[in-house]
Amino acid sequence: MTEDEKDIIENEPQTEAPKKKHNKFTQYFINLGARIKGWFVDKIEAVKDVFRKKPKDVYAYDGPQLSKGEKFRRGLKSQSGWLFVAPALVLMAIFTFYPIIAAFIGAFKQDYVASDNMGQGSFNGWGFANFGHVWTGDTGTGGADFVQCLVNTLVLTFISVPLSTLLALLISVALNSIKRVQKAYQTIFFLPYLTNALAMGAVFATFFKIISPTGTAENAETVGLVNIVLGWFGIEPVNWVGGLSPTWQIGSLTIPWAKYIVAIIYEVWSGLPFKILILFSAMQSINKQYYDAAKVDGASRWTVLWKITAPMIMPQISYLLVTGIMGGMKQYSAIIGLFGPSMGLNYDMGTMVGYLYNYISLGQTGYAFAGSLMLFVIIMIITFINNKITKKRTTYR
Amino acid sequence: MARNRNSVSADTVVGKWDLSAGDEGFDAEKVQKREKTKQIVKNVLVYIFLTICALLAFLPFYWMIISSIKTEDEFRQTVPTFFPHSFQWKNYWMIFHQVTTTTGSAASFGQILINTLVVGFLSTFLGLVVIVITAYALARMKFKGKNLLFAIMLATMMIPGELFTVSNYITVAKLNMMDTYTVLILPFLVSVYYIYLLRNNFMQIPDSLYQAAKIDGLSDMGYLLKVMIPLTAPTLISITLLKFIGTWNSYIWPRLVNTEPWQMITNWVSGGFVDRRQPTSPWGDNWTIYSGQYGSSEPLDTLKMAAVCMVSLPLLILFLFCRKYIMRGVSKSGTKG
Amino acid sequence: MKKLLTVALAGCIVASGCFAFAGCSNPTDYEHTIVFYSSQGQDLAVVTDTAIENFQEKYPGWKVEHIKPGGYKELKEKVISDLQTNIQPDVAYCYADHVAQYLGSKTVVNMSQYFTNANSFTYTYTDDAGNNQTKTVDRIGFTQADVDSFIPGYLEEGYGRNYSGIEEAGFTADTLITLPFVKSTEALYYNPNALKELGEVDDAGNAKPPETWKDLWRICEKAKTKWPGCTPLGYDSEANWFITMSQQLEFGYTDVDPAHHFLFKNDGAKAWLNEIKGYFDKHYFTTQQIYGNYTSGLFTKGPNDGGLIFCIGSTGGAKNQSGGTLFTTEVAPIPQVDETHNQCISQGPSLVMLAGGHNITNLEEKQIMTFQFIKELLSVNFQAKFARASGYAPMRTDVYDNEDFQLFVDGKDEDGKPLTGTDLIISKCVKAGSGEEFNKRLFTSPAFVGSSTARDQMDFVVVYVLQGQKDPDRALSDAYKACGGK
Repeated sequence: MTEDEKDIIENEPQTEAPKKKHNKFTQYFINLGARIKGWFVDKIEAVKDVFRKKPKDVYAYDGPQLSKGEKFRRGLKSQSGWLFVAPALVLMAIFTFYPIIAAFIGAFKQDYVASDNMGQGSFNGWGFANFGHVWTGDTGTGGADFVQCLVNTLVLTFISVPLSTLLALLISVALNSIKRVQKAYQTIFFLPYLTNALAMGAVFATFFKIISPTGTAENAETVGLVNIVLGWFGIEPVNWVGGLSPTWQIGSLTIPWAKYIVAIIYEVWSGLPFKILILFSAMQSINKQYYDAAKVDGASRWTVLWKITAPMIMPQISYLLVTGIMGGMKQYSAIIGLFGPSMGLNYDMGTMVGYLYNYISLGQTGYAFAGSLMLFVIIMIITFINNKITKKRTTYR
Repeated sequence: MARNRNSVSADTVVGKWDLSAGDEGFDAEKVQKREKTKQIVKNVLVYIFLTICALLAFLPFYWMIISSIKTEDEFRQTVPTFFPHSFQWKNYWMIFHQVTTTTGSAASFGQILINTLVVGFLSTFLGLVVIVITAYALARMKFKGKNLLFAIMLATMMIPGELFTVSNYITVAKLNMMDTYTVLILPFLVSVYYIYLLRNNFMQIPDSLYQAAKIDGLSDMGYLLKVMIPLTAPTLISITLLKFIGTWNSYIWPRLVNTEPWQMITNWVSGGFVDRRQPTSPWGDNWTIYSGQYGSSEPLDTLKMAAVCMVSLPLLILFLFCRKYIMRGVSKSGTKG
Repeated sequence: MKKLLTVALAGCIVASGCFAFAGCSNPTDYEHTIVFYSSQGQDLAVVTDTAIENFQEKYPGWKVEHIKPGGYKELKEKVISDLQTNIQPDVAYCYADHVAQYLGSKTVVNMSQYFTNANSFTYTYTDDAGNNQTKTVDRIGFTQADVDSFIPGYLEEGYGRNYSGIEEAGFTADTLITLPFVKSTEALYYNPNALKELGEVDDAGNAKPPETWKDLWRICEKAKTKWPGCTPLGYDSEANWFITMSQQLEFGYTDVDPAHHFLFKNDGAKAWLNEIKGYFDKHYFTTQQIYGNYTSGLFTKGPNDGGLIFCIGSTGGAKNQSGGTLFTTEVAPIPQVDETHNQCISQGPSLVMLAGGHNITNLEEKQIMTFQFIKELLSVNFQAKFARASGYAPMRTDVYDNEDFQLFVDGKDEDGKPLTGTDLIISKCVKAGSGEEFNKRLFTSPAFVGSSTARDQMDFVVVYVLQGQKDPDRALSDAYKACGGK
């Protein structure tokens, strides 16, 4: 990465204007041409660079001339790394690269149904129709709605990730400032990391569940722990997860706000352990001298937090936001655990990954592939924006 | 932690000095005292905040455990009890009974446990082998196209794994791998993420070691086994544990590719909490007696919770024993950011 | 550390041993193993095991593997994913909706060729001693006596004319695509004690269940005044309710003609939805989606504890409706609009044969043997046994000629003693859901690709309207759109 940057700096002079004087107009085009050329040269050089880096055996010595056979043998030996990566490569070829290619191809087979014709599949020619149908929801299968799933996923991700990062930050700061039983707290906060999203989703659902023939608190067998606690503050019980959960309707879009709240609470809870772990260990590794210096200057706790701690752990925070958003885009199991296999009422809590599984199980392979490609593109866009914003090279899961 | 200890001891020193200074320090002492009170109040507030958060974080586990031993009647009380009036351990027995006899599972619990352990051990062990040699080659060896290969591998991490499910399903069926352990192990052997993790770890080992080893006549393999693996053992143990946890929690893929005798623990137990049986599968008479008036063909919440406990608790226990390694493994990624 | 690694390594070696051992276990010989998918629970699978044993005894060399992927939904999903890779079962439980989706695979077997086939068939097998033996199937198909005893209405459902798009699959209107296995319908389970307390009794003083919807709502009102905390009616399946009412009130639902598959967007449906919304707001009834569970759980509580008085659910779920010590559950046909508008939905699994799974070479032979297994499942003895265990109605009339079975339907066991508990409810269900008179009331809705979508959507329509999230017009339009309405 840093090498790239270096390359760009080194190449900079190429884009400089030539010394010879021209009139303004010509000059402009010459500059432009040079810039474009420079741009290409940059790229070509970068690509060349990858291949130019001749593998150099550390112990190949420039001694006496070698015979052709020996040279070949040595050359081959220097490539023995391929032998080491071969198992991984073969497995990835079968289980990673091939499926990506197959999905790409399948997405363009219109109305592709893989189960037809004795497993040969059937489709109506090639084209972009799948994408259109997926986007407009015109799949005719009564499955999940893509736009609904996309909105759900984005809303859940972009609310729960910042929220849980903020909460994790607060907890980490608090943890960092105490002396006793730090380990015990740390352990408790880490517990949710290990659990099965499907199983814990089911536990959360029981907190929120109203069991009632009327679907409301009236005649209810139980209104669930959360409603009881809310009742202490005079808040009316809400059907959080059931069939009669309240929603807003915006055009063809359903906003199941009560279910959103449940899902967000779950996401925050399950996202905390990893975030606390990262932030806390980052804080622990900050050099103590900074704090001592601040102490001498008489800085308050808040000043220390915002002027020293926060900037020092900024890379970790941005890393957490990026990984959190990436993970959020792929959420699925928790939704199943919370709202059942049909992801709420008529898939109104569907997520992007839920969409894929839904169409796979409906046998609509073409739509599943098209949907997954669109998910991929959306993840790429978010990654791109992230990179632009953070400008910091981070590698994510 | 250490920082705090320092600062506090400094405070005390200052305080002592103030006291020994005599009468004129009266005002300063007051300020000092106020400061101290403020400090204590702040600390108390921090502890209260942490305790509330910890309680909330732990509440689902507590709820899961107590609900799993409540009677359904108690569970459905209008005001839930925070401690069960009577323990109904029978719920756990019912999970066994229900999954083995009522919902028609073709596998015994023992069989499923063996499946999970075998698949867990094998996929962890074989996966580790693949990860180590690949990470080694990428970190230490030089060969044409290495960087390109690594870049492509990293790029695949951005693609949701769910995309692979359909094609992989067709692949394993064509390879005739359904209903074997192979199908549960092979597709997940390569984990780019762990390769990346380990490669970074390997890279931190100084080059000089490698050269020294080469001069000693150690082969690449020998160097890997004798030097690198022992040096990165903590990371390897972390990866082992995380991979095993992943196997334990796997649910979707085993359900898709294998029939019951070949499925995993989560599949088996989840028969108690996600399956929605049609009216064709009523509970036996035994069940009606047991559940009293709630004769229903869907799993009861208390049973759900017992099932959930059965998948969650073993991992929590594992965590208590291997806390250090698990947390280190998880945090590795962060500190590399 | 070293110790830990050693232990881990040893564990891996042991595990590898197990793995190798497991890998050596005999692979299934699909050429002589018939794979059967069903959604039965273990209690019914035990009954099915007897049919499998019979079959294996009768036809040595052949085996049946009974796989239970889950409920109907999971079963369909499993078959569809199997079809992608040619590992489909030989015979499976099915609904017409499912078969409509399987047709494109070109693996659905034309059962007409075997149905009344009088030819014999001989196969060879290797016995336990290793000798080659031959065995003859006397008659591939059913005898005329068998066919005559099949209830025509049930049989009718399996013909090609009920499906759209059969020509592409190479079938005609008269092709037999599925055979009925057992049938269920919806029944009105009621709590006689509650009805008596409400004064709903006949001349003899027995509880008198409502015959019409009007009656039912009247009793609901009465019950609501007596037990304000109760919910008088529970309806398990919203979609069934809608579809049944579309027949009884003659507003359209779906049509087999591809030009206008979906008819449910109409004023009759809207009026009915508005009507039940009114009753729901008065808390007269609940449904499965709203309660979040089968409403039988509420029914068995009794009205004093906020339970139901009536529960409308599948006769296949009879076992869940036991009132236990509180009351003895009674069963009646579901309410009607009037004498001529009294349709009840016909449900229950049929059997479909799929060809070519696992790329076997003896396709013809295997299909014939699969059909023999189907014959076993449809035999008088087995049908009687299965009905008695489940509450489903048998698909052939001669089952009722069986003396024991007749006793059972009349609520007595073999010794003439009255049945108790769930057996009694099952017997009442079989009685309420069968008989020539009753069979005339049964209807099915047409099957085509998308008919199961329509069915699923009806669940949502009803819930959306009851919930108030969408008005009937909007709910029906959205459902129409989701079906890809043509």
